[in-house]
Amino acid sequence: MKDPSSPLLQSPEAFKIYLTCLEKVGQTSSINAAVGKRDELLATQGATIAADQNGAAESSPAPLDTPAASPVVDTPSPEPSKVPSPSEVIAQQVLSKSTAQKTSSSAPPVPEVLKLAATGEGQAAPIQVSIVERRLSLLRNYDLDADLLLGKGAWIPRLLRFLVLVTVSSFCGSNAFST
Amino acid sequence: MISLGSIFSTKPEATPTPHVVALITRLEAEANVHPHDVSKQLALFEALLDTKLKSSHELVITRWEKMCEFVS
Repeated sequence: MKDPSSPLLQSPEAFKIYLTCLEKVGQTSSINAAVGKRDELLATQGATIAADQNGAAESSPAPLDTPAASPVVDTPSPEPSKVPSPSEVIAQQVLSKSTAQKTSSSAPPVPEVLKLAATGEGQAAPIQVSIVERRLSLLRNYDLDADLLLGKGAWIPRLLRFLVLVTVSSFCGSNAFST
Repeated sequence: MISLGSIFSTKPEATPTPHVVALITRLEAEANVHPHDVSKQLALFEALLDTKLKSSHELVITRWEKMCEFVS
């Protein structure tokens, strides 16, 4: 934490990409820590800037016609409500997006008939179920059969060895016959 | 059905195209030259993110943390 004034740190787009990458790599647990660190750094930077501005204001001469300081009225401060920081908002966006993507990719689409059954409508209508084997799974089955039969290409060295053996034996045989 | 894929069943790793590699290389060079230019950093990050590769995501994480000195 050496450079809180990094422009990249202040960029919400960069932080969003960073959090997205954390989520894609599988370091979802690090997102909360990253949000806290960024907020802390930004707060540090904000405090530094405010201190600089105060220092500049104090160093400048005060105008003569400055009114006297108004008496401070102690008003009860309202209860500090938990407002999510910009970093937290970005993190929530990233996490909700990833959750939505996972849900849409893992859950199969619900047929309209099942939706009707779930809501209780159309109870008289029979539910038609059709099972269709996908072509991809057929191809995969063929692939698996070929792999089991051929041992994933392990038959090639065996075939080569066999061919060498046949060649050598025939060569020896021809030599034997010729002599 | 015997296919070449079944005989030589090596699953190819997802690799970016040479065009993408060249683009990322160029963007990285520009980002290195201008480390405080956020737009160049963002362009590099988005290009890396679009590759959908784990190594690219890790590179984004490392680069962001390094540039922000995020690692305590």
